Amino acid sequence: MEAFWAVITGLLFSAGIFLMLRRHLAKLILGLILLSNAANLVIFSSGGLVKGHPSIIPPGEATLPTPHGDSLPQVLILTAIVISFGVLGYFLTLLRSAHKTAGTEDLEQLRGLK
Amino acid sequence: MLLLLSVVGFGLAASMPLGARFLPRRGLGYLAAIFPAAVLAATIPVTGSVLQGVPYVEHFAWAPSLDLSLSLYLDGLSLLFVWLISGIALVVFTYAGIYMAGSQYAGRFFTYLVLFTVSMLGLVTAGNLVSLFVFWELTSITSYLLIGFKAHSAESRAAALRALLVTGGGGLALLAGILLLGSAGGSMELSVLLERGDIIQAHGSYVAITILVLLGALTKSAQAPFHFWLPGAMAAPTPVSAFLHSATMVKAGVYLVARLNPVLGGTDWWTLPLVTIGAFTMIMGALRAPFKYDLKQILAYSTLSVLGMLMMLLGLGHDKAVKAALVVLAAHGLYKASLFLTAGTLDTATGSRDVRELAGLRGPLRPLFITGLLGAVSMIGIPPLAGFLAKETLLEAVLSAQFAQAVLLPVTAVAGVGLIVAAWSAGVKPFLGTPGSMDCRPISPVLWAAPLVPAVFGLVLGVFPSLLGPLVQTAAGNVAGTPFEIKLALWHGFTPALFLSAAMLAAGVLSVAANPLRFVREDALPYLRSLHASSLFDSGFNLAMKLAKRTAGLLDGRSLSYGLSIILLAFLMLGGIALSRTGLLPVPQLTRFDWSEAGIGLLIVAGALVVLFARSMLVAAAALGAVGFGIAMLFFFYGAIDLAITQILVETLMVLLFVLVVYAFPQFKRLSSGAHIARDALIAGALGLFITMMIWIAGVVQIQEPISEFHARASVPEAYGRNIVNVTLVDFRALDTFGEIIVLMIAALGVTALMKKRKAA
Repeated sequence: MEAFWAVITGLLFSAGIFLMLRRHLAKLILGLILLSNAANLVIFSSGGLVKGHPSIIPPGEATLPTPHGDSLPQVLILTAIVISFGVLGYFLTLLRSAHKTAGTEDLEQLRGLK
Repeated sequence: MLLLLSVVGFGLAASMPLGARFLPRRGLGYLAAIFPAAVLAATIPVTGSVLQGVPYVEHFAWAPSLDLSLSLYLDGLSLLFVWLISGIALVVFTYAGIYMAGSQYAGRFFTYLVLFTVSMLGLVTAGNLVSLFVFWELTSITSYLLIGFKAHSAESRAAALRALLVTGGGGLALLAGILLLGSAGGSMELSVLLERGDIIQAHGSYVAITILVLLGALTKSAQAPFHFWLPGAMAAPTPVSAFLHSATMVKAGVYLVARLNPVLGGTDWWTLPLVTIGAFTMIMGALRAPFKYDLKQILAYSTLSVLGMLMMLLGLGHDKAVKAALVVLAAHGLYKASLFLTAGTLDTATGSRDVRELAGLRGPLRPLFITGLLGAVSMIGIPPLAGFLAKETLLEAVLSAQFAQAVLLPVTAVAGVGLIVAAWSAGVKPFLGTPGSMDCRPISPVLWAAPLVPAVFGLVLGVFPSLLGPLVQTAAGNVAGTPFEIKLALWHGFTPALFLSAAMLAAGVLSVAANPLRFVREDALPYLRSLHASSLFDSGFNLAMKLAKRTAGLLDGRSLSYGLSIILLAFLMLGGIALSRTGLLPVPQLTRFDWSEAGIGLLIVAGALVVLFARSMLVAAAALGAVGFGIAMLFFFYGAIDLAITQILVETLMVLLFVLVVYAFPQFKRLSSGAHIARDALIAGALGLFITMMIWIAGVVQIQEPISEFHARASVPEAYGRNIVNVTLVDFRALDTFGEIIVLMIAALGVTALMKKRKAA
């Protein structure tokens, strides 16, 4: 299954990058969202995929029973999800602002506007 | 603890602006002078043992894991430099207190000056190559600040930048050399390296080390072709020129060569560049100095000449040459400081430094005349001054040189004649002849007394050379690596050196009588000027700036998409190289292929495809939601419950946000051409492939035990929590979470600001 998810992550990356290379500000933002999702997947699979064993210590035990997933990538991704949400909120406002004040979403035309 | 003194020095430097506010203007120099006086006093207790050949060592572990330590290594060579530097600092600080009294930036000036002195003393006593390098760079930086002190003048600023670029560039070479030296010698400690000369000379990187270290030393000591920054540095206030650019900083390179002579010296790679470059600089400086009419320029070019002489002597490296180098060093420091300060006083009193105008000042400035005379006579090399001793030892060294003596002897003799003429114009000529129309302001007694002090020292050491003997003997032993006997005496009997010296004096008198200054034309040979090293440097510098601008323009500045493509392609190239080195590893099937999971994967890909081809924001938002929920389900499958919950919450919020903010957004227009799209698709596809391969390989590589194993063990006993992800977020990595909250807050502030701005508009 690891190989399958590696391919899916690569495809998600490609889609994100392609959108970021567009001239449209909105597509840049869409690409950014796909890219951050893909990046989360990279981190997630780098810890090794272990099915159905959450990193929760059962009552009465002192430590996690094996097998268990790597909890650190999960921690990092949780932080990343929240941060990318913050960035998204900011970008969407920026997009709307640009649309209203400049009347265009073309990045080439937005250049040099003050 | 001598190491503590450097802290005191830095503190004193920092307190100078405050001192300038509360002390009378003239008092600041005396306050600053406390530091060199304290250093001199602090060396007294250790002098006895150092002179017996036992270096004084202090050691303070700084970063032991990196083999970095602040250590102090004070042997005879270091002690000679420490005395020279702090002695001249004492004189210069006192002098500068009066000289700079009129400046409103005197506080700043003394901050720089004291900082420089601390750095210079640190440099010559550093026992560790890393701390030596740090102090080395500090002297370059403080020198930059001091040369550019008259910051309103463009010429000053340009001179300062030139000096910084040359010495800083040499500093980079030195850094590389030091790192190589440290790894070849197995230690950064000087005391260890001094014992390992054979190992280092047999090491494969010896040649590289030597070239890099010499580059550092030759730039710092203004050797041709890097000499041009030194005459330019005369833009600094005169006390600075006296202190940095004649007696101390420019000798840092000489110190380095002398210091590392036992480690690197004795081979052709060492001797050849030092002797040829040194001898060339010596004769170039000495031949140009007589044709300068600005007092400071005369002294600057003669300093170049002496620096070249020192490099040549150290390169020759036989016993007599080492002895001569040290005697010349001491004598030159004394007479050059007094001559420079004399020039500064002449400038203050008359407002001119032009030796064609200055004449007949022996009447109004009689005490200064004595100083100038003592300095000049020492520089010319007439007994009984220290300069005579220096010249005799120099000639003896060249007469006994095994290397290229046939060339070096005439070169040295001609350079000596040039220096005689320079000494005459700088130290004697302004006082002789009939007084011109120039009026002469009364000056503070400090301005003639301070320059007199080093001049008198030159006289005392000349009459009683035995005072200098023990120190020179110890220092020479440190330079040569093995101690040897040295006798210093004013009278050596009728030796070949004495006859040569007399002949040079006669030639000097004839040259002075020929008055070389009358050949000087202000606008002579403009095409030659463009060949000056400084002009070449400037055009090189401008070329580099143009090139940088063009390169930057090539890489950036057209559009976001263009810049991003460059970055991605560079990443792909470097990553591709790394990836191709690992080779494609076989992938073990860790978990079984599962059709329900495959369905989720296909859902994610389908969502991404819809986003790619969406024509409106709402469709794209909905498809993004599908991708996000798909990933949330993946998280569920693999036991990352917290992630799944967060992802679902965030996806829901995101879709809402899209709908609220951009519901009225127009349909997407097609902006790019087909070729553009194809190119971008290629880049994006290649990158996706790269990421896939990266994960593929990463899946079978385990470098060390995951950190989370620690979290799993410590979660219950130390943090009292059972959900490890939660515990890690709020406990083990709480600072990350705090940072995350700050990011959110900044984003919220940004959103608010954008909304407000729109309302205002």
